[in-house]
Amino acid sequence: MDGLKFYTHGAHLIAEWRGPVIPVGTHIPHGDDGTTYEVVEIRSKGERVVAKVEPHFSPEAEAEIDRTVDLLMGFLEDDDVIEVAMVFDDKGRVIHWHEPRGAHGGAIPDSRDLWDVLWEHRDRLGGVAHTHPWKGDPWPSKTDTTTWRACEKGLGKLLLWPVVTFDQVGYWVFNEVTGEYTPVNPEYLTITLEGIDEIRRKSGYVEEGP
Amino acid sequence: MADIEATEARINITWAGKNGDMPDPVPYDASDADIKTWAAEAVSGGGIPGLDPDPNVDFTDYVVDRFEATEDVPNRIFLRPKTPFGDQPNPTVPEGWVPNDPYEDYDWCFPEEG
Repeated sequence: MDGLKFYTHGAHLIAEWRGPVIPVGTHIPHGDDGTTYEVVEIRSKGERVVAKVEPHFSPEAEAEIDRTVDLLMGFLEDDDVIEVAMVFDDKGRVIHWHEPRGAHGGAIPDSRDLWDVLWEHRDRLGGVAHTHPWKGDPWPSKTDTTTWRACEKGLGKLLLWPVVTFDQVGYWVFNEVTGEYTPVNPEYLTITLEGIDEIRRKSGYVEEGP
Repeated sequence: MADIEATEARINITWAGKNGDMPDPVPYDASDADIKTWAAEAVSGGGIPGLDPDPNVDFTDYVVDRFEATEDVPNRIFLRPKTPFGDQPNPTVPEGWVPNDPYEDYDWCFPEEG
């Protein structure tokens, strides 16, 4: 089973490898904790084999998954925590708060209204900050970076894209040499960004007492 | 610009800080993929008044907004950058596979077996 890999396809979990076709019902071992993936359907073409599989987690893996799911569901269902975006000008002053219906703790939906704001203020636009409403590293998601790039291509200018968590801020810009977004040391920023405390509050951050 | 039939629409395109309409109307119910393809060909070839020709134009992460005609304005289609943030579902799908097709339909997976 050369090159065995697992991935999701729609709602299904798929295993793919190059090599032999194995019988339906076979358990493919995964990891060293006893977890297996049972083959429930299988197709092949030449050496390429694609199987629909169902996981059989070890008790330890099951417990870890339950803990993670509980954490994520509690986070997503927490109405008190929500992603918020903030449009700012080239001096770092807030132009617009973006708190659309449909936003939750894990995402802000596509919005023509936000694009209209960016287009209207394009001449003095500095960037768009948005929150990841938890404590931790301010890394962007793939959705974030593809949105940033699309907006920059539409606007014809590069912007500053801060990602604000409850305890950190990452200032991201597009590097035209590498073709990727990279964080900027805040000491080298030419603007002072307003609204960081406010965007955290709007996202549900409550300052901890002494 | 050409006249617009009731089943057609004018496409407005935003690219590189400028904005312009495609001279020729398109079917209002054209697919998003077709609209992006036609728009890319038009921008690449310099066929949009107000936009500079750009052979590297790329509408992959753009959104198609459609607005039905009113008494005063015909059907309009706007092609603009997407604006979502956060962790959207992003399953890893091998190159050449079509995301979100039902797995039970193997025609897309192994076409010669269909």
